[in-house]
Amino acid sequence: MTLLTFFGCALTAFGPSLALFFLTIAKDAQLVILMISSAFFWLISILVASSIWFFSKSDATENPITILYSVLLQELFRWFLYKILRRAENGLVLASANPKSPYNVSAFAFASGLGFGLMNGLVTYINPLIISVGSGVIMCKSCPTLTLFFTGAITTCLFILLHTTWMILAFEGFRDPKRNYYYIIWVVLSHLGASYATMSNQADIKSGCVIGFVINTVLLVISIIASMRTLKKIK
Amino acid sequence: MYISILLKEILFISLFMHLVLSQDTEFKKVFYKKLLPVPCVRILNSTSVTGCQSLKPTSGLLILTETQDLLNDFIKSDRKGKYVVILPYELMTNDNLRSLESSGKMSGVLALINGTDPSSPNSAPIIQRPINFSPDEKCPNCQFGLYRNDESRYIWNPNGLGIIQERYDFPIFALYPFDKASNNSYNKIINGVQFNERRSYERFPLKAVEFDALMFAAIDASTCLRRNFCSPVGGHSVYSTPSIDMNENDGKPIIIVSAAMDSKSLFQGITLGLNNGISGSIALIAIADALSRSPTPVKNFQKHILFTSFAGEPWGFLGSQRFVKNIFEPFNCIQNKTKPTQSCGYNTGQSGGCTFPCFRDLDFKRINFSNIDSIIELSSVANGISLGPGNIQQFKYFVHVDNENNAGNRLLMQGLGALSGGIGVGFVRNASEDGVFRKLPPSSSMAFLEKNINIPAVVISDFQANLSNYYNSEYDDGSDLDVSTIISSICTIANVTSQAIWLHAQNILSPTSPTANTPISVNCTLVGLLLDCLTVDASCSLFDAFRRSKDDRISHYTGVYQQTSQQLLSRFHYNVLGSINANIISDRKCKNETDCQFGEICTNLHCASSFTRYHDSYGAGLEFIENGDMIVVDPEKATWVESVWSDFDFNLFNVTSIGSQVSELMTGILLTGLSIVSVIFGKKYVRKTLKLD
Amino acid sequence: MPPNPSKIPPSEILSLCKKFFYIGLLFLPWLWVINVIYMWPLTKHSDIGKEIKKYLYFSTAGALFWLIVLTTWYSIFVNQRITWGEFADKIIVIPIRGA
Repeated sequence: MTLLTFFGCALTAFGPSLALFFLTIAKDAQLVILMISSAFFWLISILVASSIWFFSKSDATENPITILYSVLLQELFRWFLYKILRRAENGLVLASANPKSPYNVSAFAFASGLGFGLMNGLVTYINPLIISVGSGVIMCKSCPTLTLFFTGAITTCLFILLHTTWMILAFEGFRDPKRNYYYIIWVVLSHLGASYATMSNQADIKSGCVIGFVINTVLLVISIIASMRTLKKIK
Repeated sequence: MYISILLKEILFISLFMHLVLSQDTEFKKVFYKKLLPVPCVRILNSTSVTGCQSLKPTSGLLILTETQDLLNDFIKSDRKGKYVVILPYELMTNDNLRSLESSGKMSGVLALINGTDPSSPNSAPIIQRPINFSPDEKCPNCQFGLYRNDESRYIWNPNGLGIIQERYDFPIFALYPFDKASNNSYNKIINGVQFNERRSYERFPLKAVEFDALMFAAIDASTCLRRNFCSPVGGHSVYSTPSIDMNENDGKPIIIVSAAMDSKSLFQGITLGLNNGISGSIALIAIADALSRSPTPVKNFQKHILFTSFAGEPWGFLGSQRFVKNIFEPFNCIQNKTKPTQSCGYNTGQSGGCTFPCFRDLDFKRINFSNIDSIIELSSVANGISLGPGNIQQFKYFVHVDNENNAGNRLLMQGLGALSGGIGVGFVRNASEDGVFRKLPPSSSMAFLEKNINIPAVVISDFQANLSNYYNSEYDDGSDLDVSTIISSICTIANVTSQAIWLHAQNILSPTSPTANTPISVNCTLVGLLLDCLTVDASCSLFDAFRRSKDDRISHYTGVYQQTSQQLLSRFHYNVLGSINANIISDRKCKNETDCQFGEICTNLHCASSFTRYHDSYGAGLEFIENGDMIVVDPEKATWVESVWSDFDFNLFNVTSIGSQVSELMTGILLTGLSIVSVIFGKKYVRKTLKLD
Repeated sequence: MPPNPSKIPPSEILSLCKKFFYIGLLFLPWLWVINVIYMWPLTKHSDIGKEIKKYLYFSTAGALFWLIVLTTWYSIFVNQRITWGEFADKIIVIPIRGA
């Protein structure tokens, strides 16, 4: 009867982000297209990262080095995405639903962030999600009462939301790198922090998964507050 | 143009996702452990369905009920959920299985046949082997035998549980560790059960298993044959004679020496049938070998000696009935294309066969049924040793006949008795010496007597009143007997029988035949080698032509009939008997039989002529029609077919409780609901604080 | 959802409705259902309303007929498949395993 698990984990992982999508972005076709394009960019970044992994032929399944270069590559492609959007910005604003609004760029950032996040969630989580339909489970090492499917769902949920906020903050930073460099630093560091925090899920630390979730949630809250501040600054 | 870029992006994304999704088997292998217990399959006949089935993959928590009381407790308890019950084989009665089925708690059964207890320090067996156990019927094959129309039939197998003939709509797999792979599966499963027991079935996650063994066939034999979802149970019998020039008009009487070459049990993969199946055919080969070393060649005697090793006897006398049918009825070849066709794969031009009905060769016509002088059949003979008075080991075998008053029967019984040390005092006795006239036990001779009840026929066995205690069961593996005892038993009876045949073929068998005049003796080393080959080590020299790996124990289940390909057992008998009865060894070299002409055998790397042939064996109630399909022609006779299936799957894994699954679902629903609400409020808040319109 | 009579001439809408009905006769009952759902609000139209209503009634009748026929056939077949033996096997495209 683990259709229950399947729906539970699917809703946990993608529920909040899909709610976000359907209630804010789905109405605007332009934002949807932006979202898909940014998903594509994330995919390319992970393709490059996995090629490096493939050729490095590392044996360890959880190598901190792997996390390091994959995070850095994702951030790099975030920057590429920003550059391309910057070039197309004028045309995009003109074609938007409300060309006079000063919040268009933020909306683009929000949609791109959601795209990045959803693609991340999809690629890393869809496999365990499909397997969760079967009867068998595998328990999380550090929290033996939870299944790996469920801890993965929570991690995915947090990461999608984190990516959304990171994109907003990163765009703010790229807009004026000399003055707003701290945004970029925050994004890179918190991305690394969040990724390394998930390593505690499978470690032999007691209730390690809780530590990971707490760290990620804290990062998420801080990032949300920071994004709200940047939005307020726009006039 | 933007649209085309978008479409390309979507295409790329979907390709990537496809790649990601196709990797799921690697991840799955981490926590689904695939194991290999042996399944029980669906076998059908013209009216009914027997065996086990799992229409969809079913899973359940592992639980072991060691005694009948524990089993009753489990059935009556109010446990929730589905369980896979590990049941000692001794408790697998039909009543128990039906109670389990109706309790609704069982999703599958694992039959515990043997194995050691992993938690015991000195590897004690986990269950006691029952003293007798037979999953077959109480009167096996009596509906196909000679006495099927009698009012009262003798019950030869009173311990029979009859579960082989029952239909179970749930999967039953067997736990029978005998080699590395099965030991591995067994240990994992038993460890899983003990893991569950330590947690009292309350603290999840617990260990569960899933069966996936879909049998395609259903309803009855004619339906599944029509749908191509089953194949006939059967194989190839082997007959062989040193009389290379035997033909139907030579007027010479024929002595038939026969045995069954295979066996039957509930779980086909582990059918060994050491006593009931192999011992008789080992004796037959030993007799053939002994007679081949006769100082005067037996082919010059007054009577022919024809050795017949029948396949499929436990399934309603498949081999003997078809053999007798073919040599008794006049044969008409309706069509002969002389080339292999789609429905008959033999090169009939080369081997002198017929395309329809499909026969590789027609040499069986050279056997004239009316010339059959007598039949000597070797039944189970491995347990002929018992402890007599004063704890002295003594041999004892029994001769069964249909009619005590038949002169030919009396001659054979008395001759055997005399050769074994004296009529009534030697080690070969009449089965009716206790005054009970039981007639014949289920045997191949019945098929012959069906056509002519007066043919003298004796069935030699180690039992008197009841079939052996492990008749047609997985326990018939000889582990309750000493190997040297088994060899000795087979050797002794084969010795006496070969002497009797030698004398009888020269018309000099008499109630007073002394052994001193019979220069025939069985090679007991050969008996030992044959036993080893057929039970433990199929890499023995006699199997050289077939080259199997060591530690490969071959199953002695009859298997399914395939027209142009013979089972390992049939090929074994063909090659061994063929070499023993080889006539003239030519100087043409060969590596295997295909290097020689038809009618020749490759023995000692040289081609030699030999009157040794295969004969089809499948249900007497089944026939092939012209286009190669098989249909049921006589529902009263044996019509056994085995279902087709695709791969089995059996996995061991952890499961969580329903409660935790429900809480996962609730978390998801709550989180999604919460986020919808927050987004709506968040939009309002953002609009307000940023003063949007 | 329904076609807008101010943007499309009513005669065209009527002819579309007729087309839906006639093409649905080619064993397409779902087209009739779509016809009804799509065109129903237009039955209140001044000019073509009555005509459309007629065609929609025909479409509903046709869809109901198909529903009854298919449901009856399904229930008969599912219950009688095994007793029909060879004939049933001939009309099944993918043989049913295990039953």
